[in-house]
Formats: sequence, C-alpha cells, structure tokens
Amino acid sequence: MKIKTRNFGELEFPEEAIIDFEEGIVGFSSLKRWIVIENPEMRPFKWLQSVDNPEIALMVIEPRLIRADYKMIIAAEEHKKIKLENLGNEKKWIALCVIVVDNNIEDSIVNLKAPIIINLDDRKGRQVILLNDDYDVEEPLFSREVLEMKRERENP
Amino acid sequence: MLVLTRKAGQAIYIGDKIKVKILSISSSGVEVGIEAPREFNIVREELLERVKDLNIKASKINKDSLDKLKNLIKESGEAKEE
Repeated sequence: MKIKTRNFGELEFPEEAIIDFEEGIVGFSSLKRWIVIENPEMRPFKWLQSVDNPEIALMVIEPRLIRADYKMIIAAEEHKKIKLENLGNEKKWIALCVIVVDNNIEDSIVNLKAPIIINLDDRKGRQVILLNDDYDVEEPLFSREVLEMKRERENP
Repeated sequence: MLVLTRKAGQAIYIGDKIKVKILSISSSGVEVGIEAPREFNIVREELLERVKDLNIKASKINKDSLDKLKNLIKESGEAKEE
C-alpha cells in the first residue's frame, strides 16, 4: 500500500503493518488505520502515521525511555477492546506516548497519562487513560541532564 | 439528556450495576460518589479534552521544531560518545 504523507513523502508498506484503531485516536475518531514509522535519524522517537489521512502523524516514544519504572493500570473494559487479557506478557504489546514538540524545544512535553497501547499479535490499538495517578498528560520530555548539556554546548 | 434533581445523600442507578450518589453540595462543587464494576473506565471530561487538544497540537508539528529536535538528538548522541 502506498500513501503520500505530509512529513515523510511517499510511503510504501505492507497491509499487515496497519494497526486497527476501532475508535480512532482521541481527537481523531474517524481515523481508524495507523502505522508505526521508525526513522533511524529520529531514534528513540517513532511516529504514528494515519493511513486514512496522510496529513496526520503523531510523534511518540516508549514511556519506559522517559520513566524506567513506568507502570500502567487500565480498566478491564480497555483490556477487552484491545483483546489483551492483561498486560502481563510484555512481548504482546507496545505502549507509545504522544509528544508535543514546542517551538521552544525545551518545553516539549510527553503525555504519560494516556498511552496508546498496541496489541502486536492482533494489530489492534487504542489510546487509554491510565487509572493510576502517577503521571500527568503533560510531563516534560527532556530530563534536566539533557537540557543542562544543551545549555553548556550553546554557552560554553 | 435526562435531567434529574437530587439532594445530598440521594443516588441514582444506571442499569443495576452503576450507582451514582451525591455526597455533598457546596459552593465549591458537588461531590459525587460512583460505584461501578472495575471494567468501567470513569474519566473526568476535562481530562479527555486535554488529551484530545494535545493530540491535535502534536499532529501540527512544524518542520522548524522538528529540525531543532533532530539537532538535539544528534548532539546528545555525540555527547554520549565523547
């Protein structure tokens, strides 16, 4: 399948790569089909690209790269919708958190409260709101260390 | 929309499994207690709105910010190698 995207030009991918979001992603309820794009230049960031609207792509990151001890508690209803009995087997799913890149890059944030969970076997995805209160929808993307390093380089 | 008047201490049932009780009413807000089976996700509307706004904002990323971010990734990668 081929689509012409706003951010990545023409993309070709197999049908099997498509992840089915039955209810879309919050704010994009009509966009049901998405693919995950990994670009070596942008590692560790990834992209969720809409197949239905090539203009729409979201930059995402695996939450464990932001918080090594990241934990998710989700409602049983949510488990059912993505056909996962539980989150016990970590090989069966991946969590991706949406990043909002600010013009002032240091103020970029990541939404750790509402991860997008993808069932890798069934290729089903859904954005869920965690029941646990450990994270906010707007958490700083960069740690203090990274920002310090950036400042030192700019003003040695 | 179904509109019901309730006093503090009174409750309503939605089906036979979900109970919504008005616990207290004051000028700062109404305290609502909800009893529902664990499979139901109970979310504050404004939280869902924030998630929605952030997703839409995220989809409007511009090339300028993206380039800045790429540079930052490159720099931090180089710094690690040093």
